[in-house]
Amino acid sequence: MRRLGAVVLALALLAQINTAVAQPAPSAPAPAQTHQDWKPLAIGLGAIAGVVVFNAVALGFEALPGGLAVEAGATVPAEMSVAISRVYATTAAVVGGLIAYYTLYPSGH
Amino acid sequence: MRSLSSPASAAVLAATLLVPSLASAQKAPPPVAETPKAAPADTPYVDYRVLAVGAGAVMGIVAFNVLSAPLGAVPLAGGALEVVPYSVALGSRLLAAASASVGALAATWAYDTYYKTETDYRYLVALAAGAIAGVAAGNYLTIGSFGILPYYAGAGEEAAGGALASTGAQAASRVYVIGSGVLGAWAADYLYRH
Repeated sequence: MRRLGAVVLALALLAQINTAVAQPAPSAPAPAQTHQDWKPLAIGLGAIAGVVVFNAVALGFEALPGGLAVEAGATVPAEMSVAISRVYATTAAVVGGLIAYYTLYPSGH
Repeated sequence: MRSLSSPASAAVLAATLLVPSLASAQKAPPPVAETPKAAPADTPYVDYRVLAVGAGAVMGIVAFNVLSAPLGAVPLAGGALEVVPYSVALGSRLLAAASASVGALAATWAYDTYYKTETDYRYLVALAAGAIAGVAAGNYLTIGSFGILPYYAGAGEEAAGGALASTGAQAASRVYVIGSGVLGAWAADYLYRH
């Protein structure tokens, strides 16, 4: 009888252990959702694109950096050089602004 | 999620001149139960994000000018540069502000449409308008006129009778356009929120 009691007790303990193991582990706290705000980047790229598109449509590809459409030895007209300068100014300003923004406000807040 | 875009965009706009961010109005601090009659927190004169982006934009163009100086006033232009009349250089600043502003607004609309986000377009437009107004004011203070818009081939020759900008002035003009645009956007931000 003692032996039977010991077996029953062992089985009961084993069942308890199994039940405990079956319990779902306490869920770890969900990692904080890091939402990156890409809208400023889109706006900056849009600003650059606005300048580039205007230059190409109004003045042609000679008005873009690189001089690919400029004949060798040619002199770059005033309206073309200031147009190229617009692209540089806008691009540099956008890059600087985005660096400052994402450095100081990585999550947008 | 208005806050996402607002100032950041504005800044960008301002920066680009334009460019400014979006909008979100500043959220008032939550009321403190113990001091219900406490005065509301002071609203900054200019949104800090717009300030940051604007300052970054100016630093960006200054850095570009310094680093590209060995390559000439207009790097990779493709040839020798004709002299540029002041009126054309100033008009070019207005074109930069306007085209960048339009591009930034269009990009914001595309972003909102694709990602189903919201933007305070009145604020954005105010920042862009402020940037353009800032550039125009800077032009007027420089030579007493807003300049001639060089939006077609040959515009430079037609304005050749005016004073001529040196190559150094051409490079400096990039800093002026960004600086005046940023100041204008900051002023617009202040006026919009006060």
